[in-house]
Amino acid sequence: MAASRAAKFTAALAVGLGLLSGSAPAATLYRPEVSSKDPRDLSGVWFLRRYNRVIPTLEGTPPPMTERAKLEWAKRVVAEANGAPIADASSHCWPHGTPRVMNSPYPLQIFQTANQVIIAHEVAHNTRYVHMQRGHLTPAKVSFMGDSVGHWEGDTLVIDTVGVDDRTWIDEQGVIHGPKLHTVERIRKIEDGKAIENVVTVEDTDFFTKPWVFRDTYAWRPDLRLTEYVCEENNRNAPQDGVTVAK
Amino acid sequence: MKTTLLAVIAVAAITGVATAEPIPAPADQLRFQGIWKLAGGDHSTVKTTVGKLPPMRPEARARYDAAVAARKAGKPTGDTAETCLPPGLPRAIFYPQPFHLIVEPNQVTFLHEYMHLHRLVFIQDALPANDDLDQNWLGFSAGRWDKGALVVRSRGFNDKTTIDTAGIPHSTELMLTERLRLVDKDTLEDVITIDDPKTFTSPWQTKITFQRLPDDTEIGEYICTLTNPEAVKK
Repeated sequence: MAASRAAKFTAALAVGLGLLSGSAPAATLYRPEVSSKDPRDLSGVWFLRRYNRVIPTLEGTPPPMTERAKLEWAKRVVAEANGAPIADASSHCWPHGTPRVMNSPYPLQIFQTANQVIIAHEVAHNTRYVHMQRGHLTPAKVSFMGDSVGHWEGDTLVIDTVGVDDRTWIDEQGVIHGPKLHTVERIRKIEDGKAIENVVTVEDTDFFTKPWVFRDTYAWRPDLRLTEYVCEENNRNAPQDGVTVAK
Repeated sequence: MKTTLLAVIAVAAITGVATAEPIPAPADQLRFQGIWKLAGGDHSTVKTTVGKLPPMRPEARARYDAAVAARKAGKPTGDTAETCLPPGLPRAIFYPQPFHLIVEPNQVTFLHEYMHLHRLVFIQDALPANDDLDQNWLGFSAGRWDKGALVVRSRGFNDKTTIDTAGIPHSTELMLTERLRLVDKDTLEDVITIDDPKTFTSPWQTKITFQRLPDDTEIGEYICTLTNPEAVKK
């Protein structure tokens, strides 16, 4: 996982500017201080505000897990406590999956094209494609990031995702899912464009007794650029026989 | 006096961008946006624009010959891309998988299907000196628009990748200059000048062409480590 050369350069530039203008160095901004006034223009770099490896529901409770899900969760918690954590997709450098990738403490950059909203994540250079001009494929095509389709409801981008490979987890602790996972994300700008919120409904009748909701917010970060994150380089957590090995 | 003026202009150029509402890229630049794919041809062995092997120094040529021989004999070549590491530049653009090219005023972004690589080209930046850059797999790319073409200069590479799959080596002194232009609305040409005095006796050029794919083309999920499980254990 290489350090940010861009950050090094940015710092040098910021110091340089500070010296030239005779004031304290200010952060270099690559984009406007506030995101576009267009509520449907989400393009730019955003950063998760509250990172938590466990994802609580809106009510602050653990997700409403079925008996099967509770057993799987307990197995993972115990394995980790015993120093032999069970590997999830990300341990193998596979894509993190949805919604897990949205809960990463790394910046993401949103791009919008005629047909798609694309979310490029710094973490493991995950890329999510949200198809704006079609519904879900039948039969569903399974992938690690799932099949995401989107539409606008007013100024809210609604992303519906199915077909998420069940080797991905929901959180980092042990809340997992099966092939029936269905998420609906509702993303909109808040705080005059200085942040976006994502209200996520998670549904999987095999793993949850009822749909549950969590909310994340992401700050507009004009001072950041995605840097190179290479999971495959020196992966200290490469699993052996399904167990994550900390080297 | 001249230096101060330049500095003021530089400050204005940088901070000016920071306060305004984003302005869309001009139409002639947006024409580059789309989904592109290598237009035929096998680029696993890269030749110069006159069809020759690049002018390698003897030591580089020996490494190249060894890599070619090892591959032919089915022996390990030390090719890091085979263990799912980013293939470096220019090699990343030689793969047959498609890529999104997204044009914004301050950034041109290549989103590749191959290894889901992100390549960011920063339009506002001057290219820093090599010593001021970390050595990354995909280097650092600074771009500018010039008479309808996108000129991208890249350096700050590690020396663990090769120029092509065959095994043309390079050092950390590698510097690329790419001139991307639209031959027609559906054909993108990239003329690449490769300069690395430690590896080559002179700069050399190669040319690659991409064909536009329909806008509703979907980029697949390419996961190198899924088919190469040993790769993450290195």
